[in-house]
Amino acid sequence: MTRVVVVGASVAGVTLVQGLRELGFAGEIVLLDAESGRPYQRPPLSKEILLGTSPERADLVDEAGLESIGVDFRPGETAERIDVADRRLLTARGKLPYDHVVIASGAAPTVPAELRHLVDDGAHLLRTRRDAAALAAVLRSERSLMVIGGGVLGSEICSAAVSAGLRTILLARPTPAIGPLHGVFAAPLIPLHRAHGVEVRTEPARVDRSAGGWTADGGDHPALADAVALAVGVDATACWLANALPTTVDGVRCDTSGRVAPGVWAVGDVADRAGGRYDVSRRTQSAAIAQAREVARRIVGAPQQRTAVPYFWTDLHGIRVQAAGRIPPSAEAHVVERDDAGTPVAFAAVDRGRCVGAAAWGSARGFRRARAMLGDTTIPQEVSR
Amino acid sequence: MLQIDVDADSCVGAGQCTLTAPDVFDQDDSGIVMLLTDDVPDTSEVREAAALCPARAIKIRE
Ligand SMILES: Cc1cc2nc3c(=O)[nH]c(=O)nc-3n(C[C@H](O)[C@H](O)[C@H](O)COP(=O)(O)OP(=O)(O)OC[C@H]3O[C@@H](n4cnc5c(N)ncnc54)[C@H](O)[C@@H]3O)c2cc1C
Ligand code: SF4
Repeated sequence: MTRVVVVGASVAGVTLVQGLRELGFAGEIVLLDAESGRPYQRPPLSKEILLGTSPERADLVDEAGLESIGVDFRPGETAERIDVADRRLLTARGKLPYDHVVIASGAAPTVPAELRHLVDDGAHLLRTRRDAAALAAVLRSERSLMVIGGGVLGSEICSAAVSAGLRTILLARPTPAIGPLHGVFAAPLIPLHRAHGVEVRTEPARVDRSAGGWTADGGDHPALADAVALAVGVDATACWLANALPTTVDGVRCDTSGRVAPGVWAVGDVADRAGGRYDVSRRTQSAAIAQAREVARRIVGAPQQRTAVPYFWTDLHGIRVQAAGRIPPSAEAHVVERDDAGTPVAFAAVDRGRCVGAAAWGSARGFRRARAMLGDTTIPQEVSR
Repeated sequence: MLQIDVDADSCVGAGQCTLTAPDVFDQDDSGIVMLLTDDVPDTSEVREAAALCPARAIKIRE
């Protein structure tokens, strides 16, 4: 009987397993995860769950669901090495032969060496359910929070902290960038934070634990806070493959449809896909789902569907930020929609004369208008750079 | 026919459903998903649309 082993039971791994069964795959499926507990997805961790509402929203599938799809789910079992030539994994519990292995081991927070001391001193990271519970407790009990990193996760943490009533300090780079958005596309970010009361600091600062809490130097006066959250990016969890496969902090290299080597596939945050660097969905839940569907079809030999347009979203201070397509560094921003005050809220990304991407800040209408332009070569609009 | 539940509270307005199965899904002015029909055909597009939803807001009841 054909055996598929899936490493990682988060959104990519679980979607893959569900996809295999939906396609009629009748072989054996083993699903491993280093964490214990039932599978969950991460987007709610920095949103509802930080604010203590709807904890069930993170659940992906319960035990009954896993049983009904016929999966040998093994929480708490970590894959330690892969033997590509002999098609087997080595896990903490022994050898596990496979016909196909799907690497869905995701990513984990980056902790640069110069910030290591913060984590040692108790700064919060946010990746797991347990991390979210710890940070949610901070939002309930402390009065101020310092967030290091103004990307998607750092910004979402600020948004949650402000709505929980904390004085919130954000240490960010002077040039805003959030997820796939950079330059003009990201320009609304810092004004949005400031408008909602976040104290944004963009000068370099050293953060340390002090007697009364945490301090950041730099600026006119030091910033003080009761707690610190560190969110400066993620690195792929690929080191366990490094003995056998080409890996970097971007993940394990694979072709445009997820193939790494014979019988080896990669999906989700750990997959470093050829040609996918500027997709707005890189390292998002949407990409993890689309890739898992695609690889499930390749494993069973089913015809491919039309691929979905890459999509990205985040919620900040009650505003939905969305993007679609690709936004390469060279893309020009064409303004598609402005708000009543004249501030641009939706953009088309134009690269070599073609609309390749769309982005919007709190404008569902602007987003749909911009997305409808994808592929257009005549973009009749104001241009700003 | 398929039994479909859409959870408007979870929907993030991605529009992946509308792009994938435009005969079955649409979005209101704020981008939130709407079912266009009660008689949802069991097609690969509809299943794909449900699966691709990044908020996992579309559930097929088997
Ligand atoms: C707090 C937070 C909020 C987010 N919000 C959004 C959002 O709003 N929208 C969005 O699109 N994306 C969001 N993301 C990103 C999104 O969650 C990721 O893109 C997605 O989780 C990637 O899924 P994955 O299955 O590839 O990897 P992961 O979710 O990282 O899961 C990998 C799994 O593999 C397991 N694992 C790792 N190594 C091993 C091993 N050696 N053996 C066994 N198991 C192993 C891990 O325990 C983990 O469970 C957010 C991420 C976080 C952390
Ligand atoms: S794909 Fe999901 S999130 Fe997007 S509009 Fe449809 S239901 Fe809503």
